[in-house]
Amino acid sequence: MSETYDFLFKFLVIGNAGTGKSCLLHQFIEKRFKDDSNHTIGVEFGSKIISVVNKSVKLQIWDTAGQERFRSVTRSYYRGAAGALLVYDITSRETYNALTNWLTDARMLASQNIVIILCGNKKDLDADREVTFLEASRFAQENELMFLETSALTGENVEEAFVQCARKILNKIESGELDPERMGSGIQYGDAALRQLRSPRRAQAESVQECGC
Amino acid sequence: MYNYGLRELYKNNFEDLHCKFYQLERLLQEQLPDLWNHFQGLNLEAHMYASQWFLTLFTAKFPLCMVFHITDLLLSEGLNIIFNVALALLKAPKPPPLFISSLSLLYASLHRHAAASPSQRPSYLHLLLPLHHSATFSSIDSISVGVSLMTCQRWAGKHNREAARAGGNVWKPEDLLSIVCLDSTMRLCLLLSNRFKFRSLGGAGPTLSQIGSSSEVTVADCTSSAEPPREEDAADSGGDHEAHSPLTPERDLPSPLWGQIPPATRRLGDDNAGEDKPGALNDCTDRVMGLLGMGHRLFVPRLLATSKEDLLQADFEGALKFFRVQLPKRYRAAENARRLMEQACNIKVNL
Repeated sequence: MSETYDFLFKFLVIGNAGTGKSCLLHQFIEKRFKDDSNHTIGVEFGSKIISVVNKSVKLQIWDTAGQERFRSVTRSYYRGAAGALLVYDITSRETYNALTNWLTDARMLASQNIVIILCGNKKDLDADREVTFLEASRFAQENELMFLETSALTGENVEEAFVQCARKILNKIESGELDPERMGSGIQYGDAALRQLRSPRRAQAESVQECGC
Repeated sequence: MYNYGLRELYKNNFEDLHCKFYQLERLLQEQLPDLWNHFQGLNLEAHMYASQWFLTLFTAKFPLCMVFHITDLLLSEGLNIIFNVALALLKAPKPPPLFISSLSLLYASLHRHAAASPSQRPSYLHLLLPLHHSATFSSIDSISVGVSLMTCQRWAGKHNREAARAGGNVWKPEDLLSIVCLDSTMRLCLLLSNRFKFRSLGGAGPTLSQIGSSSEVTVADCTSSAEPPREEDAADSGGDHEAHSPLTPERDLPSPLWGQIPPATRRLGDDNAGEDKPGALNDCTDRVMGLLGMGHRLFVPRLLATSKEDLLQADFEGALKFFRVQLPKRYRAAENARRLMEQACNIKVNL
């Protein structure tokens, strides 16, 4: 039951409705394609421990609703995210065109140092492609994003997307560019003792619980 | 839906919805302060678990039988019944739903038990497990339950190694005496002992309520515990399907599980001498436990964790997962959903 990890990163999956955000998350966590997917209402949550450059990292992933009407709800999840997957659908130019808006939101509402990876999802539907790889990678370069084309159906590049993003964050921590101690960095140390020191409120709640039972 | 204010929830960037979240948090603070404190400590806010409750009127995850009840209530009472249902979901329900709905809950219970000091810990553990996926009982289920049981034991072994290192309490294999399985219609399916000898009670054994209303004889049989209860009684009351049961390994064993249960009953009898008389078993669940020769007093309060207890044990992720997975599962049985609605109606919500 006790899981050990070195770091905990808070992740976010954003992008237009129907681009496959929930399916990406499901594929990443369950290694299966979710074929009965519905619109996400508000937000869903998943977590997984991965190992990146000899460190085990727990990803705490918020999968947000893509529909425009939920923006005001999902915005509150940007706060304190360390990384984000910005997802568009390679068979829909509309979802690609919306990227600028999503990016503005993310840069404005999340921490300054948020690491974003652009994911062109539905790579398996190459025949219906509306956005070329070249075009998207240029966009990614201009906006300093990492970029991958993924397929939640086949699982191609899905794990890589999360791992690459986590690796970049780890690198930033090692180079000192990111400080896990800073509030709202979206990063926590995994060591239990450290965590307790850092969140006395939680320890308090636990002691209350003990006498409550 | 205009009249009920559902549309308002979505308007103006969900302004109204956030107001509802605020109200829910205040209600929680007022009615379940311990849980509220726990959530505060975890930084778990209402919008993380209750968005779907309000926006989809519990239809997103919860089973249809429960949704029907809720819709009825909503049409008759208005939108605020969402608070009632939400609080009922979070509040400690009365023990009755006699099920451990998932293995993870089972582990949590085992963990809690093992952590208790030896004096507080009962000498035997009895588990009642539902088999979710079977309308009729098949041999596959017995295998999966057997596997579950093995997992439990493996878990116990692992826990013991850790406990031995840390000087904690050790979990003995005998502690896990028996497992009783119910199929999705709450009919008794089979009994398993810790040695994997199991006994099928047939594909259509008695239901809980049938046992509750059936003869005193069965109950008396097992409380006396000198002789094994006659399972024919049970099979007869639910229709005689014993012969069609695909589960056969039992038949080879001359004296199967029943032979192992009485010692536990005797122990219990010693502990609560006056209380285990048939007359005291006034509730059908008690009778089931009585019928099975089990110490319901040990079993019910300790192993049936309520939503609140589960949530108090959970960390941030555990709580979210609980809301997403375990909680909806609990109300798959129509009976549980009905009980929940009863509770919801009895909760006072002052806004």
